[in-house]
Amino acid sequence: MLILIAEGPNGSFDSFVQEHSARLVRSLSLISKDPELAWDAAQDAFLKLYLRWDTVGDLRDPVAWLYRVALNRCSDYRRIVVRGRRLTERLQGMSTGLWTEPRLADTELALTFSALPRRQRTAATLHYLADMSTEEVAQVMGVSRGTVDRHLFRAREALRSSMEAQS
Amino acid sequence: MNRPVSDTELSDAIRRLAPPVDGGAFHRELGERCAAKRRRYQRGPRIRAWAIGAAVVALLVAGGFGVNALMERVGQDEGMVLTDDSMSPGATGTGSPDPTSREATTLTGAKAELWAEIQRTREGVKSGELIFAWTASEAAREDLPSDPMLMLDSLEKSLLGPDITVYLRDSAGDATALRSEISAMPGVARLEFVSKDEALQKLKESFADHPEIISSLPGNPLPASLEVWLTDYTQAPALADQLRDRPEVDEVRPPTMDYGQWAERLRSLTREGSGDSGRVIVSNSYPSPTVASGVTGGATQHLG
Repeated sequence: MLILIAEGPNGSFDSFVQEHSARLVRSLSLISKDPELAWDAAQDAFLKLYLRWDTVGDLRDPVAWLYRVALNRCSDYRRIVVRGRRLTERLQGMSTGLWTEPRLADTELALTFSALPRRQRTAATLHYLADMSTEEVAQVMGVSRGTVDRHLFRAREALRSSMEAQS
Repeated sequence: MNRPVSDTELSDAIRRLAPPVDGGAFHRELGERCAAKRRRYQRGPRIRAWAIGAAVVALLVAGGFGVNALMERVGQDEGMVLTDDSMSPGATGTGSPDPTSREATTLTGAKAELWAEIQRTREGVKSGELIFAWTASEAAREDLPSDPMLMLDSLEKSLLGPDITVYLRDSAGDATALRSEISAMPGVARLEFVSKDEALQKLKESFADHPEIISSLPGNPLPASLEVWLTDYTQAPALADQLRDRPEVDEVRPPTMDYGQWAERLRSLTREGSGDSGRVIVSNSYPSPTVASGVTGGATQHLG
């Protein structure tokens, strides 16, 4: 039941979604540590792309654009959730037990990955999971290649030592 | 010395960390949203909730209540709309109940108990026998709103508000059949119909300090609603369930407050005074009355 029939001068939106959706959602899940939030943010990003699909040719790199929009949306959601949670707690006097920091899994590597600074986690996810080059990661994150290299280096160090300790 | 981990192993390990995704379900949901968007565009632009979401949150902070409803909705589609809500504090700032609301004497059970506790607190503060105040640092430590009197006003307002709010689909029009049906139900004490126009008018009044938010709305995104007062508020969830599946109904919102818990909390916050009410902070002006959120679309529940 595929209702996306935006066949246009720029090819099928449908096949673009097929190709990138699962990887985008999985990447956002790792970065945000919250699969539901990741799903919503990815939906929003694709919807936004859909609305401008006939001018997608104007974008330098539609995939980088998609990831950037989705990451921003993740942060927006996250801010609202955190702010709302604080409010609820304060006003209702229920400061414990309602909300816990989302986490990936209980393995050693997952814990290490979760504990990485967000930008390192983002760089590592985009590079290793979304298969992006340093250049592409830099474009998505809006930073220089050197900065991406530094994030990747630190993330690798932390993850390797966690994996080596396990093996 | 452990064996060094290769880049490929690292990459595989990271891939395994990422939870799997149901691509088909994702595609279907996106398809529906795209189709809805197309329809919406044909009708003309609709409210962009995220653009005003931050403003709503800020106003909620200022006023205090309706937060649960917001939390239930923040994760949803841009269908989030602003509605006036009974959980909002009064706009008068005097703490006296709105004369058009239901009389406080008709409250029952835990609602009556909380009402009595609020009045006891007010009177105690007035005579100086009770201290109901806290410093900013106490407020932060104990998770309290900054203004004690505002808290009492908000609680009163929510006690006098409807027991159930039923949001109607635009296609339902005035929903006359549903209205007479609900009015005739046993246990229904009062029913008020709030039309789309009245809802927008209320919103305008709520946002009197921020007219730019209202003027940025291209049309009227607010749904009409039915506000229902019951003789026994504990029947609200049952009635809500009954109404939820009606074709005219978009969303039903029963109250989410635990009145008994609030009464208990109020009791624990008051202290014996020495007849000196000097410490009490009384606020006669609000930053702004608040709004709470509703939703026009039947999107699924997301962020919890």
